[in-house]
Amino acid sequence: MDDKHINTSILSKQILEDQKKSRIDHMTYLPGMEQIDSDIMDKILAATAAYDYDKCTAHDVEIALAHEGRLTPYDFGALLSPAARPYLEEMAQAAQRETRKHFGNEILLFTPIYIANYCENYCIYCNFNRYSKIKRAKLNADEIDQEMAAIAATGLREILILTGESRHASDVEYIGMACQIARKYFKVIGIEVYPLNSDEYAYLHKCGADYVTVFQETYNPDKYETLHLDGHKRIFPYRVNAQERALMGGMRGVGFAALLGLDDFRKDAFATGMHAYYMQRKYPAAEIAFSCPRLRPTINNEKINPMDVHEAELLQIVTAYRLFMPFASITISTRENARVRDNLLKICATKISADSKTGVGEHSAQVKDKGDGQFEIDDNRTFDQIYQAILDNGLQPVLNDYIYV
Amino acid sequence: MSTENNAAKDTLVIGGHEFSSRFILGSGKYSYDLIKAAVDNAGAQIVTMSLRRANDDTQTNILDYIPEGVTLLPNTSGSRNAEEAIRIARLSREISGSNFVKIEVIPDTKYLLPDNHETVKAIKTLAAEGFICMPYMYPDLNAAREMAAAGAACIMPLAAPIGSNHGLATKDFIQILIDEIDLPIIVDAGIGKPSQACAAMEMGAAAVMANTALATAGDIPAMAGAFKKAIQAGREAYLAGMGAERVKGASASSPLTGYLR
Repeated sequence: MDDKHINTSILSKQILEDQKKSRIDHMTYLPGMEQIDSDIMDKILAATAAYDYDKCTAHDVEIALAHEGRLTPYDFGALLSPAARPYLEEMAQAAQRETRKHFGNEILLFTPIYIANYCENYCIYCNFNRYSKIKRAKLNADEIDQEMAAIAATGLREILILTGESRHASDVEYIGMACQIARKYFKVIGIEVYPLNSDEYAYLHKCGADYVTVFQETYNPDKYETLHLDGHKRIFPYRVNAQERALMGGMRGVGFAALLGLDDFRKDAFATGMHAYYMQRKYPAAEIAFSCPRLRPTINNEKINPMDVHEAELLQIVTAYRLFMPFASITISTRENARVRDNLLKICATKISADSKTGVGEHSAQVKDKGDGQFEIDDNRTFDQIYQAILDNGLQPVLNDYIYV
Repeated sequence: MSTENNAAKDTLVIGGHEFSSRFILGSGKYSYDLIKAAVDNAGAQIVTMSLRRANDDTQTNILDYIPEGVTLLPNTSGSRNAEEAIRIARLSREISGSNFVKIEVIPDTKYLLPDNHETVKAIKTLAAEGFICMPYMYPDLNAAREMAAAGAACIMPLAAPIGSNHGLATKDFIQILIDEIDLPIIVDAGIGKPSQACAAMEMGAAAVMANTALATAGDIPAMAGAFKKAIQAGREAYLAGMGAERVKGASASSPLTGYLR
């Protein structure tokens, strides 16, 4: 395979050696993984294979911009293409109009809480991977309560519960317990954990969770295979179908993302949008959300970078998401610095985390046994600082926007 | 979203049947002896027929006036609920031999507005019996989704109250159906002029159905020809890809992207 998109910053001698070893088939489900009757993955892969961004022209981009509010998949592809680069300001203006039309000036605030960082996968770019030499931790019920109380004291009312991907260390009952504790303090609960079966999603929904985010990382199965060498996460189709199983389990909303910088970002962003598009058509009641994470350095590899996804490319991707799906929530990560985040809030993002920590037990002084973080964040502002920055930009911070039913 | 974008062989596909014409002609409200000329001038391959008129007397039968090779589309006009629509559809199939049925459930004699809920119920039964169901409906996205799930072969939203010749009064809602439903969207009812039919086709409608616009024209066959050209022009414009109608030009400065490093 002639791969023009290898991010050498994530490679090490050890990883290169490990990539040569034989591995299980990444397209075959493992025992216990629910297989649903769905054609969504095939549609995403077919659309992405057919997407040839070098063929898109300036005229295609202009047509796409003229289709404000109702872009076709072809238009979306044009906006992600190199031909759209000279139109970045126009895309930003159009994205801002669409965002204000659908969301007014409201910006939702939330914060992530990492309750455990044990992981059984071997994702070569991630600091949580099973071979990574980091301090592992798992909060018990009291510690989760202390952490959540500390977060709620800031005023936040939406929380995103995260774990490393270990069914053994952090089983579904454990995550459910965290959701039940969260219900005491928060109005909106999202989860970002390993992919589950639909009955498990139904269980977590009963425990209070309403939103499920799963990063696909890359939608290129060949590339995916070389990045996820071991563990359940290696099984590509089980991950792609996670959002659909979550909706089948009764969740209100699902989030989509490619980790930008792992592969050809135009193809991955296109696939992410098409995934959301096909899901929305099949499940019109679902809330749709995008995240737009770029690769970040970790404590064990400070040279990791997002390859060719610079700030302008990130803006191109996020505005293309907005114009393709004007109604979707777009979260802007703490992987980005304050300048980028504040500007994206002005243009098209609708949700931002505040007081973010990617380690375990970092919100509360009472938790003694803390675990290392997943990646280094680039915006260390407190809740109050972010809240004020939103106001200073003429926007309105909102702490919760949904009722759990 | 249009499902058939192949300009080389741009056909309308309904229930597995292909048509090159995108003009569905109604046969009501005008004399039988004009039907043939209207159909010929329209180039129509599908003509609707009301069972109410199929066997009304011993003197004339509408079936004798419909040219050969034209697909008959019996409608269920006269039905006020799903049950009646199902009965009429079954009778129509016996008489016409056509599996096509235009489901019209109209519990309102003043405005003749269709009942979407009863229509969904009728589709469920008739699709299971092998009918090619073409439901006339009030353009409502949720109802259209239910009709698609029930087995409809296309969706036929009204543009304006039937017989009004008011044109695309429900334009925004029809556009939503075109964008969201994976079935041909055939604009039915209310289209009064060729320019309105053309506009519907430019939006991405798969076909247009018209009746009153012709029946009330000075020269029915001539108007049929005018509609034919308008529908073709609209379709060609849609396939060609409409030029950009810009709301706002780019500004010289970069107020939103100035932050980039």
